[in-house]
Amino acid sequence: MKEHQVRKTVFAASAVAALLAGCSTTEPSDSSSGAGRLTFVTYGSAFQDAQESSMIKPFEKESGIKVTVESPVDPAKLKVMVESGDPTWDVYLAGQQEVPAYCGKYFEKLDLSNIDKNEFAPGTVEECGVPIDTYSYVIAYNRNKYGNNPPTSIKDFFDTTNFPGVRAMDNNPGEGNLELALIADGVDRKSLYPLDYDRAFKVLDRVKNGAIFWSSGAEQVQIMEQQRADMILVWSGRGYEAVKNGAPYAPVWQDNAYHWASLAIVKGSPNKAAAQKFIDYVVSKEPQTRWAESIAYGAANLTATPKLDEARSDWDSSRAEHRDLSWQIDNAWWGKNQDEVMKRWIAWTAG
Amino acid sequence: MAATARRLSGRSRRTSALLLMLPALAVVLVFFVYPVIALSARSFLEPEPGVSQYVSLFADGTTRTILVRTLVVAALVTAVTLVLAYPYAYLMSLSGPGVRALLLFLVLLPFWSSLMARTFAWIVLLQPRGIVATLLSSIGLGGVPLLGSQVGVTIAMTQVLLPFMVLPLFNTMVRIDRRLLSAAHSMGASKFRALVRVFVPLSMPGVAAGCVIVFVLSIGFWVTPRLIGSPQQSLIGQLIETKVGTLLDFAGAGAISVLLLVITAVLLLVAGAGARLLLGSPDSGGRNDE
Repeated sequence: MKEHQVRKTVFAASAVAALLAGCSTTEPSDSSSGAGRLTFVTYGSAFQDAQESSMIKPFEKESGIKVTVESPVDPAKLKVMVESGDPTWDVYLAGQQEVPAYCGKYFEKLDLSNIDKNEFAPGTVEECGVPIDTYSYVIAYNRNKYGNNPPTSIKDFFDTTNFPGVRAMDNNPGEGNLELALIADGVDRKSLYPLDYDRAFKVLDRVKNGAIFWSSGAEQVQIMEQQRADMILVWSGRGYEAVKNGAPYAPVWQDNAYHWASLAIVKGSPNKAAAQKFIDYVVSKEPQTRWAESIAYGAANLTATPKLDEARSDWDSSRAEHRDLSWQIDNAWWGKNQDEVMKRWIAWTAG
Repeated sequence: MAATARRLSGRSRRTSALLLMLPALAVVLVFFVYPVIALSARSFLEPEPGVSQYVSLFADGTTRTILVRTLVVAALVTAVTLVLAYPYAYLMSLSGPGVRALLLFLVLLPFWSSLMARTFAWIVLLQPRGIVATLLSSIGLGGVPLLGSQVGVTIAMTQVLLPFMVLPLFNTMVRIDRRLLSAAHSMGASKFRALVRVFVPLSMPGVAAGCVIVFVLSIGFWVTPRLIGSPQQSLIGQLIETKVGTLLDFAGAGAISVLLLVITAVLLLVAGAGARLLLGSPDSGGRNDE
């Protein structure tokens, strides 16, 4: 889901681009057209195609509101848009940590009167964001390597004595690398925060040598297909994709990090009413069911009833058995401490 | 009369040239000069007016490590590119029009494909059990990790930057009067000696130009190290990108960018002064040999 990195890779020199967006807002604003249209910014590729067919097209038909879809999301561009006071985006597909961090700053407070919080995983519906899809950050291991003695938890991921081999993980700690290291070291899931950096990095040090740090969804698939890593922390959807392409990997759901992406309304959006209607619709049961059936991401609305085949179900983050083994990142803590975490992470990986 | 007319037409030609340049100038001003100034200004204004961004930049050990690494990698890539490009450009300057066109075509080929496409091609080539790995192991150099390593990044960056070294070198070499070499032979210099004492010094302006271009482009490289290297070898461009794209710290990113800009400017000044020195006395290159 969080294809941040792909976006970044494609959109180099984002500093300049972002500043340009700030000084060249000559495009006509949508304010004159009222509630009849909105612009939704999302991630591209198959992800966007699935959103269009399962959510956006049906919404346009039902509401008569015209939705313009743009991609990819870019927080730097969002910041400049809001600062310039004339956003061209209305609905933003936000990473879960962005929601509390940008709430009131770059995102509007939502009207949650049409949302039933009980239909979603606890803690996922927030003041400025409603979840639209889910995935897990989960261990995948090479069956050829550990076939007779497979790893069963995150402890084994960091145990290179009993499970020798190359490890891979996200180059962005936001998926939960530090938390997983702490869980492996015996820290209770309920007392992970504030993160004990030194303790976490000490655990991460065990696998650092030769470790691969991926930065995009495509890279995860490629690493698994080439079997470059023996154990890899992946997005569940990408794990499924690689396995479907023949990569000999299997998931370990114990300790999986449950993630989601949310919809948010861009601060100062001229089409707030239409945006609110759009959000209410796409997180409802039917579009969510169609969504989960059309792509290897989970439905955020837990009342959705997608029909999935066994292979897909094995990698489904929304499946009850998998959710029971999961934990969630503390978004509020991350929103406040992201700078510090990133600084320490960069010092550990690149310093 | 005729002279005045000529001068007038000269001036009007200059005016029309200026007019023709205007669109390009406007683009540069709006899309380059303004953002650079805005980004630099931010680095001095946020969070409060002053140089706090720069103080924390130099106080941060990680930034220093990455900056030094970037300069080392840029120097390494420049050296490797020079070693590869020099004989190639020399061959180009010697060969007839047919072969020269072919060699030029081969150098320019990378220019006609996108940087992203080439970088992804390198990922395929450098993968474990890929072509390059197989080749290396067949000559007894197996087991060198290519993807996610400095070796891989250097190989890919060298390929991407090679044209920027070959072209200035060729441009200089092709203008060297080869009769000077014959003159050196006639005075008893061996072929090698004539090359080292006469040709190489005369080619120095091209070497300087090529090295500066490649070095400056290298320190700003981002896509290649990002995709082929691992974060453990990340360069300053990646740090800037993280600051802008993830942390939304435009001021901090601006401070690093200004620092890079200063380094580049100093380098250009030094190289310019050096080239002027060389050009001022083109025959002085080998004077310290004896």
